Amino acid sequence: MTDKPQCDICEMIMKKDSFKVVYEDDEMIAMLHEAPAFLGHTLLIPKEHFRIIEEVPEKIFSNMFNISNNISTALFESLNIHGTNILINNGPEAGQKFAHFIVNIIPRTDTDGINMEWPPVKADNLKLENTHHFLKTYVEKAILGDFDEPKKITHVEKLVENDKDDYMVKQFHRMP
Amino acid sequence: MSETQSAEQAAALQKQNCIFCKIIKDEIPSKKVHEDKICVAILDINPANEGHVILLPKEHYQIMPQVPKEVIMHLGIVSKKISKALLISTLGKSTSIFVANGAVAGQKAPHFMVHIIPRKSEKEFFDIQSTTINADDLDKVKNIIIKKIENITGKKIHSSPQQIIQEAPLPVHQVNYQRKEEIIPMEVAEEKIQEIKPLFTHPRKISRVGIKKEKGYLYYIDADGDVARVPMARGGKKQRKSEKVKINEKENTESQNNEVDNNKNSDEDISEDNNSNTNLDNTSSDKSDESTSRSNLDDISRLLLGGRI
Repeated sequence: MTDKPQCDICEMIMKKDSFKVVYEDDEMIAMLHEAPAFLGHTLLIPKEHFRIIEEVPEKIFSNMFNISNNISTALFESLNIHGTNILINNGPEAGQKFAHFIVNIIPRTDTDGINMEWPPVKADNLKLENTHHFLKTYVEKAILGDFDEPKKITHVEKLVENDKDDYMVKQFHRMP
Repeated sequence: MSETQSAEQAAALQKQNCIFCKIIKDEIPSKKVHEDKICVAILDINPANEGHVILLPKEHYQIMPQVPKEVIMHLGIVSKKISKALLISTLGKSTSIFVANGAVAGQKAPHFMVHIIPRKSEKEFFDIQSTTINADDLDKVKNIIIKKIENITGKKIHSSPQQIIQEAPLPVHQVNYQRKEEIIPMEVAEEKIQEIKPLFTHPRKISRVGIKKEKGYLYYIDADGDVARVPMARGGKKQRKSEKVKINEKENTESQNNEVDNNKNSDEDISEDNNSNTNLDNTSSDKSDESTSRSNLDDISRLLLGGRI
């Protein structure tokens, strides 16, 4: 974690004593939402500043998903609720309000009035086929890591520097 | 006894009738976008948006607390990658990742799944409204939850006042690693050395063959594979002719067959000749050749890196 808070959420993490922290470890922190959808709505936030899920490293996100499972179980067993939702708003069009990655864990009952449904539309089979063909190649490439940023290699550059000074290789450059 | 049997039977029945288990086994057709040992990703038949993906574990788990830790972690990683694929394919400008536990929450089938939905605007769905609550209620809830979380995760949280009940340690995930070591036979290894040789033997050949380099000449290997030299021009405009350097017959034949011979054999012969010759510039390098020519496959990697042994 850097000294300067890079967003409002990072400031909140620095002043965590004034919030209701329910879980904490080296990578993440979970606290109760103060204007929740339902009492018990928890926010699971990574301590390092990441804006969207693509920026969060795999190791940290897999731990966060696991902890959100644990928190959801804890909510279910201790409060009088009938279910939970885990929601990640990844991007402004998905409803992300702060530029910091947050996992929402929302307790649900049958009379809470929260609507998480989407309008049921049966898809046209032809359209589904097209989407399938279109998306499949992208998913394959994403799984292999083709869209990830390449890692920087520095040792090769050093070798090249050595080669230039080497008297044996110098002859190559002079060959007619 | 009968109750437990009926519960088990009920669970088994549920698994048999589970639509998603049938989809995973290909008994019902579906549009699969990803499959591996642990999970399967398919396109939803009733999508919220074009490109709505459902990620399922292959094993039948009814609710999230039943799913083991490693499977959850793997599902998290795969859902992250699918979200990236959806963004890059421009099916949505943002994505939502959604899990429903319980019928009340919107779980439609008794098989755990993760929804990854591309989004075009925030008002479509998943619009959470905020409510105002009492600060005391918040404190009460915090104290209730924090103990439960400590029990489940086993981690002490500093803001919790009371003692922790320590659970049994989590089982260690054992993985059997079997390294596949490729055993390269010596003949193939030597062929590999010969393939690399022509690139890097030019300066070595000249030193190995035992020619004393004279000043003012540029030594190189011509098209025939022989060592030749050209007088170097110092600001002169005349083009001077190149001449082949005379060397012993033995070494001449070796130089012609350089690309075919073994590294070892040529070095052994040359070492004999070098000992007989008095004109030796690079004795130390030849001796180093001897010692390294008998070395093993480790040198291939060094050759590939820098061309020097």
